[in-house]
Amino acid sequence: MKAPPAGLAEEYSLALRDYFADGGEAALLRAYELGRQAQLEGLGVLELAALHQAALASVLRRRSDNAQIAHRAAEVFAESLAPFEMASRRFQEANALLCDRNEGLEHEIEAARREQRRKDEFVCQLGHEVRTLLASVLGALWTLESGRAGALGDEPQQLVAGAYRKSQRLVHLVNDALEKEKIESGAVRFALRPVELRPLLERAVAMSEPNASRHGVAVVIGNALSSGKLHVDCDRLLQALKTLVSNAVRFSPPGETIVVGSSRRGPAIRVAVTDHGPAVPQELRDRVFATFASSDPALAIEGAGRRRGLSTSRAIVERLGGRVGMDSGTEAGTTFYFDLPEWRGDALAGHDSGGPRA
Amino acid sequence: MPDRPLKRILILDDDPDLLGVTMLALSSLGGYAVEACTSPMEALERVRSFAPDLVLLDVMMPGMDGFTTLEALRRIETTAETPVVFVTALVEPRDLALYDELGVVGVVPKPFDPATLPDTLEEFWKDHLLGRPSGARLAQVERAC
Repeated sequence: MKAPPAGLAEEYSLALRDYFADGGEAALLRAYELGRQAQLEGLGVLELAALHQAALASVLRRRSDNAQIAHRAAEVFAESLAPFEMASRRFQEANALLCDRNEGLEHEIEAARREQRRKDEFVCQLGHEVRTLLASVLGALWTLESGRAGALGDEPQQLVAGAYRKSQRLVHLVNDALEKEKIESGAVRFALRPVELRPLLERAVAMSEPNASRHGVAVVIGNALSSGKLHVDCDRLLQALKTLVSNAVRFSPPGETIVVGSSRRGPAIRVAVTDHGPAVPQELRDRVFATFASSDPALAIEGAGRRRGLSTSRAIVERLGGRVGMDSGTEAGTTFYFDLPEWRGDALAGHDSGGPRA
Repeated sequence: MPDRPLKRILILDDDPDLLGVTMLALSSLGGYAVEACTSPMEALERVRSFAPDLVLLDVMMPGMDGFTTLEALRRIETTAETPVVFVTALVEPRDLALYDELGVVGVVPKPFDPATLPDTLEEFWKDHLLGRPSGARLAQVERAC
């Protein structure tokens, strides 16, 4: 037991005497204040009971029987308080331990956040440097490849054309990997709101028009819901959709039509983009959505297409609580799609949208 | 002037390699009259006599950056209202929001495909003439090639 400070015991005795003498409220108030002081000093109820016992004994010293009774009474009182005291001590110890652990965890969380910020800044800086340098490399190779710096011999022309194609692939690889990393790490803020899907499809189709006409293909809206809402970040979803459409454009033979549509699938709405490019073999379908799909040799060999940006589209759709998928080799052609929970007023149909929120 | 064609473009980029490629793409492919500058001071001087229809500005440059150059262009009578396009590798949403506030008419993300640059600029130009809000055009930024 912790010894109470001498002054405290004395003041308690005085308060007790005064109370015995006139029974006034002032002495009780002093007792309350002394209790608070004892608590601040870190004393427990047992120490306070001992203090009370000593003070009472000193007040009643001259009457030995009373002193004896008071002494015994205080002992009984203290004993009955002991379980409370022990429970309180255990609670205090556990609480102190939790506080320590909590503080340790807070430090760890803060350190992890600092590390994440450092990593994000590094990735951002690296991305900027790589993109800036690639701009010059790509530009120079384009100049040579397009013959704008004069005609090259057959062999140099082939070398330059290969380097130009590879630098284009490098650009996509860097962009896709950096973008996917940012989305998955939560560094990209998603501004979620209910959005009517149909205008979004129309916008994606309109935006694909210059690219489609360069490739000699058409992009149209086919079977699509006249109304239906999703709870999404409009720009990010548009980015995912545009990626599906631009890939369909790249892989469709000239004269073909790419169809963008939407339909209900249980609690979800499916947005699908169908093209008539080469089919993707069954065994390669999972790889099409992988981060480095645009440089996957198997995908190039099969002619099924190193489709670009699909890993980013998947990261976006999954962050929005949906999933991506594809059907290929059917009579309809190759369809890339994503399913997202339909927004119905204040509640999403089906599962929670989940995913990190930043 | 809803059908005024885009004819004269001034480009500013501190990387002479990229500047050369951009100039080539715009002059030989796009058929524009192009003035190419490697420093903001040079650009601010040239705009007075060249009077561009459109200015392409690099954002990250040593010394005077694209933002300061844009401010300076706005204080020159010839270019006070000339549409400006940023050419930059910084196209995070927070960057785009800033460009939007500054009133640029479009953003070309680096690296870009020189072959499609004239078409991209024509789209920005068309939108500018039609007075479409710049936010939509910035949102449409898609890395080329």
